[in-house]
Amino acid sequence: MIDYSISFLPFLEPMIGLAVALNLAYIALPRFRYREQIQEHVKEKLEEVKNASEKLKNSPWYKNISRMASIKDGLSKEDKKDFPSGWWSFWYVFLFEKHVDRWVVIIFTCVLISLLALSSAHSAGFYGSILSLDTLSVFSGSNFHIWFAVVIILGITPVLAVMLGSFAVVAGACKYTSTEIQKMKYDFKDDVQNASAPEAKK
Amino acid sequence: MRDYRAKVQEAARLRDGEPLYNGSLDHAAVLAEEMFNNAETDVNILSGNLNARVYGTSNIIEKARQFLSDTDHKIRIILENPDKVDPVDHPFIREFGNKNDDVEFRSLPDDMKDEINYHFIVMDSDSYRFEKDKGDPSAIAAFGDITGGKNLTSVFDTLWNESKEIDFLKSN
Repeated sequence: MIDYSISFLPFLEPMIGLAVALNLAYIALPRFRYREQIQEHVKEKLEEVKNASEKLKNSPWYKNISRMASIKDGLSKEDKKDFPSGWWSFWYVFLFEKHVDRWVVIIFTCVLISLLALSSAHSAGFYGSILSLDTLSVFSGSNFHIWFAVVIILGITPVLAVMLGSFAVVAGACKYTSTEIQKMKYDFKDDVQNASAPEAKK
Repeated sequence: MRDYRAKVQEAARLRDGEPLYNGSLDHAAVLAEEMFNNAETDVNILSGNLNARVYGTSNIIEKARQFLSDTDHKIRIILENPDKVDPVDHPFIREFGNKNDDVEFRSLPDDMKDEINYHFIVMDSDSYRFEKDKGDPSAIAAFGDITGGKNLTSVFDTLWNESKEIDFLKSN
């Protein structure tokens, strides 16, 4: 049983450690970079319309897709112009384009590492104040449930970001590109079905 | 280009009507070759002056020759500007212009030229390459699109009936 009269922080240490690991993985591993995945798919799809005419290159759908092919993993200075609309693109622009996801995870990692440091201090029996804040009262008594929930949220945030990035944004962007290119081809096919011979002038 | 050829060959094999984009004269040449390679009865071409970069390559002449080795196979070609074709210099015309009964050339009447903004090649009434804007090499192609192929064959037949036979021997 946890003695709530003293700090419960050392009991949360395994969870905090796991949360730090997940957050660090998200920050460091290139496999969580969605822009490159979108870029690769779009470039592959644009190969299907390689050597597109100038007229085609000036069409809105081509510009939209080219804009997606040029997205970089570094900080993007592109504005929303020529970017397709849709729920996946909202998440892309809102969360991933300006790397909000990475900044959020970096902040969470800092909080988690601070908690780990504090936990080590509490394990050693040091319950001092930080900036006039009595750390013992914050991490004792009925606050356990709150901090338990906070650590879970900080730990699952990178997992949710991976799911949103991979399953929603990348899948949405790839599907959008494939659909647009297919639509363009079928528009051309409609022209074939609608072609007609002119009336002969006698 | 090798990838594009592989894609075209796969489309010709499947013949399922899936559209293929065509963005250049080199693509057009690959498509035309595969049309001759896969046609089972006829190949019909509506063209300006039978661009030699597309129809004048040694590959296409070889494929056309193989296609015509079966006496039931026919090639019909309507030219918008036969006067711009030099029958001595153009490899395809030099090969098939006058000595092959299974290859016929006709000239589109002047009054129809301005009203047509497209060019195409259609084979077996189910496969084609269609240029919506004849001034632009970008086009769509499909193998096994019966609806589109039948429509283009019907357009071609109408134009063919209005067109006049070309005798390259005389014009030479």
